[in-house]
This record gives sequence, C-alpha cells and structure tokens, in this order.
Amino acid sequence: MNYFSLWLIFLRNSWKRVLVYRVNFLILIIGNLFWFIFSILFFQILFAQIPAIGGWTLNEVIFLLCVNQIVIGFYDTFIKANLERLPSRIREGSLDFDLVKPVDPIFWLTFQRVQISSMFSLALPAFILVRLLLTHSIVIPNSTAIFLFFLMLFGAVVLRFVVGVLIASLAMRFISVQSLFSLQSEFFQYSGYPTSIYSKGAKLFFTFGIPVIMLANFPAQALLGNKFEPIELSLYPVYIIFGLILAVKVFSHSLRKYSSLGG
Amino acid sequence: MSAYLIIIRNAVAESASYRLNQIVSFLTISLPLVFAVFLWKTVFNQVDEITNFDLPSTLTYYLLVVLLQDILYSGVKWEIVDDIHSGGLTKWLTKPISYLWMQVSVRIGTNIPYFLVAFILGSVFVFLNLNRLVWTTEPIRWLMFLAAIIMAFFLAFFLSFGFSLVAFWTQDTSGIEFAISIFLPLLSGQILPITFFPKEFQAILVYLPWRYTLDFPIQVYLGTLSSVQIGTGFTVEFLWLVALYFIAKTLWKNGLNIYQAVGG
Repeated sequence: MNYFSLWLIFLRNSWKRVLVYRVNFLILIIGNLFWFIFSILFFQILFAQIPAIGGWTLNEVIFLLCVNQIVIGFYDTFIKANLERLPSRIREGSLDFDLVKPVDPIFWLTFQRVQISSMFSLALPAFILVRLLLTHSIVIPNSTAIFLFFLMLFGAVVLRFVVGVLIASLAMRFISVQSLFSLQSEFFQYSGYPTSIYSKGAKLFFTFGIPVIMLANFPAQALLGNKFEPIELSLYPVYIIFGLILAVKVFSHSLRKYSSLGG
Repeated sequence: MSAYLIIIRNAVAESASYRLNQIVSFLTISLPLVFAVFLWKTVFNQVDEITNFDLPSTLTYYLLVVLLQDILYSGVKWEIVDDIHSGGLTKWLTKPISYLWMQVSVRIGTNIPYFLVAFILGSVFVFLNLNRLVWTTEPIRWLMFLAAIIMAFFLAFFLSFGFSLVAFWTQDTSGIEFAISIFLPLLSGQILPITFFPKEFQAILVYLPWRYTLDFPIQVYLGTLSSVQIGTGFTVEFLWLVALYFIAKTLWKNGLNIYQAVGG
C-alpha cells in the first residue's frame, strides 16, 4: 500500500469521526470562522479612520487576512491535531504502538488525523479571496505572480509543518510542550498584519527569526506583484528547504532517543 | 487565621509552583502587545487620535488588557465544573464555609503569583516604551481605577461562577465555554476599546456586563471617558454586580437541589 492510499484511509476514518461528533464539528467550524471574521471587522473599524495602513488598502489587507486564514486552515486540517496529540500519546505510552507500525513514523505521526472542520473553514476565506479577484478589487499583474503565489502558499504550509515538528520533537524530551504550541499559534495569527508596519530590524526578525511575515505576506505580495527585497527572495528557498531537512532530522533523532513513559 | 485566608495562602503556594507555565502563558497572552506597538504606531502616524485615543493611550490600553485579562477572566471555570461533575463538591458542602467565597479566595490566591509574573515581564515592555505610555498622576483617577478594578474582579467572578454552575444541569459545558471564548474578547474590549466600535454597537455593549470587566476600568485610568460616561459606567457596573450576585446565589441554591454527588 502506498502512502497516498494510506492517507485516504486516514481521511475516511476522520470523516467517520465527524459523523459521530456532528455538533462538535459544527461548533469548530463556527469557532474558526468567527476569529477570521473578527479580524476583518477589526481592520474595517481601523480603516473607517484612515485610508491605508503603511500603503496597504482595506481590500489588500482583507486579501492578506484571507491568505493567512488559508495557511492556518491547511495547517490545522492536515497537521496540527496530529502534532499536538503527541505529548499526550507519550504520557499515556500509546506512542509505543505507533512506532512499531511498518510505516515511516514521521508520516504516521503527522498525518494520521485530518481535521475536517478546519477544511470546511477554508471555504469562507477562499470565497472572499476569489470575490476580491473577480470584482477587480485586487489586480493580478501576470501569470508569474499566480505561480509564485501558489509556490509560496505551499512554502508557508511547509514552514508551519517545520515549526510544528520541531516543537513536537521537544515533546519527546520535555513532554509538556502544549504552551509552546499555543505560543506558535498565537504568533502566526499575526501573519495577517501587513509587513509595512514593521521597522527594518523588526521586519528582518519577523521574517527570518520567527517567520511571521513569510507565512502570509510573502504569498500575498507575490500575487499583488509587490517587490521583494533581494535578500528575501534569495534566502526564502534556502530557509524552507533547510528548515524541512532540520525538522525531519531533529524529529528522527528525538524518536531514536525516545524511551517509553506510560503504562 | 480565617479559613478564607488559609485558602488564599494555599492557593498562592500552589499557583507559585507553576511559575514556568505562568511565564509561557503570560508571554502567549502578551504577544498581541508586541504586534499592537507596530500596528498602532503606523496608524497614529496618519491620524492624531481616534475617539479620544492617541498612541500612548492605545498602547497603555493594550498593556493593561494584557496585565488584567487573566485576573478578570469571566468565562467558565473548569475546576467548578469538575467539582460538580466528579462529585468533588460534596467535600466542600460538609465544611462550615461558603463554596462561593472559597472560590473567590482561590481566585485571589491563584492570581497573586500570576500578577507578580505579569508585572515583572510587563515592566520590560514599560521600560522599552516609557515615553509612549500614559502615566496618571491624579489621585482621584487612581482611586476610581482601583474601585472599578475591584468591582470588575467580583463582576468577572460572579459571571464565571454563574456560567460554571450550568454544570448542575448539563454534563457538557463545552458549548457555553466555546461561545464565551469567541465573544468574550469582543464584548470585554480585549480586541478593541469599545469606543472604537460603530455607535450602534457601542449602544448595546455599554449595557452588557463584559465591558465592565476590562474596557471600563482601563478607560477610567486613561481618562478617555467624560465624567457623565464614568458616572453612568459605575452605576451600570454596580447594578450588574448586585444582579449577578443574586443570580449566582439563585443558581447555586437551585443547582444544589438537583445535585446528586455522582462520581468518586
């Protein structure tokens, strides 16, 4: 059985879980959407007072918020629940059963569950984004911009995966890392703020130190046709690829060092 | 020593043993402050003030939100829900103390070490933004702020206590918890000062209790409200305080009538 077929089984099982907890499923969708709607409301209230924030118009900021919500949605759908379950699996000792399966442990531990409610929550930002494009509120300069947009959107999800896996690796050593997961989620909520609000030093820090800007601003800037700094474009692929290799290595190393805890 | 003082002392000791958790938790809730500095600096570069708020008052507003939001939390308290569902409440019913005031004492005790952590970490922000914050020197404003905070503490507690007591009637309080977690930041002014909202929203929000758990005390400190608004605010806050106290007492009495002490 190849990995894609295995993932389809994971998807089917996740769907069955949705059918058992239908009310919870609806609650989660509404919850995810409310935060997104509040963010839009927040900026609409601000834009009632000023015409632009650091050169970004209201439509552009809404577009940025949609891109951010899509990145959050993809991460929450395919990766988040799996990584955040890891500490409790270590505590209970059930991780041991995962590790004896004849499948790559990283694949098994990071893709076993699909959070279908988050997948449904992608619909609203995707709808608003398409509407902004169709009403020409946002203008795409050329087809390269579309290509770069999807590439950087994928890069953003990979980056969330990298950060999540690195935190999950710490769980093998420290077990209690839930607050770190919350901290990173909180950080990346602010990826929807326009990059132009930051000072030069802060911009560098929030791009390459804690990659808040890279997540939503990069894909959004690509589609809007905004210019990137040369350092940003040249370091971007290196950062993503190096991060991915590092995360996989650290996770594999932590698994090798892992000693069972539960009973 | 009074039983409640002993409860406070024990809660302080227990809470202090989770220092690392408190530091990470405070860092998590203070992140909005970091991003608020960048965002609002950009906004106030273009406009001098928004509904009586300038850059210093806005930054001070968010600093106080971060410092106070955990202490003035008005959502469901899972310890109370757990006491009701697990039968743990029984042990408190056999003691000659009030469960309500015991919970008040626990909240006071738990918040003392947390506030110290918040205060120390918050000082770093204050030091870095010394010239961008509002420092009130008027004693009367400090007194009003203190009064509003004390009232807000009890208001938030009675809201929290009342919502938690719903556990007497349902096994699953996650729906209420969820609804509160969504709307609380908006209704309390955690996301934006209430006066930033459109007039129609403001007209509703000023009569709801949540506004008095964060937005009102902070705006009293900042001096962004007129004396009429302050007077009306204190009246509404006081009326809610009295009403919520009696609602909590009634819920408690009725809840005990159906409490079956299930669990072990």
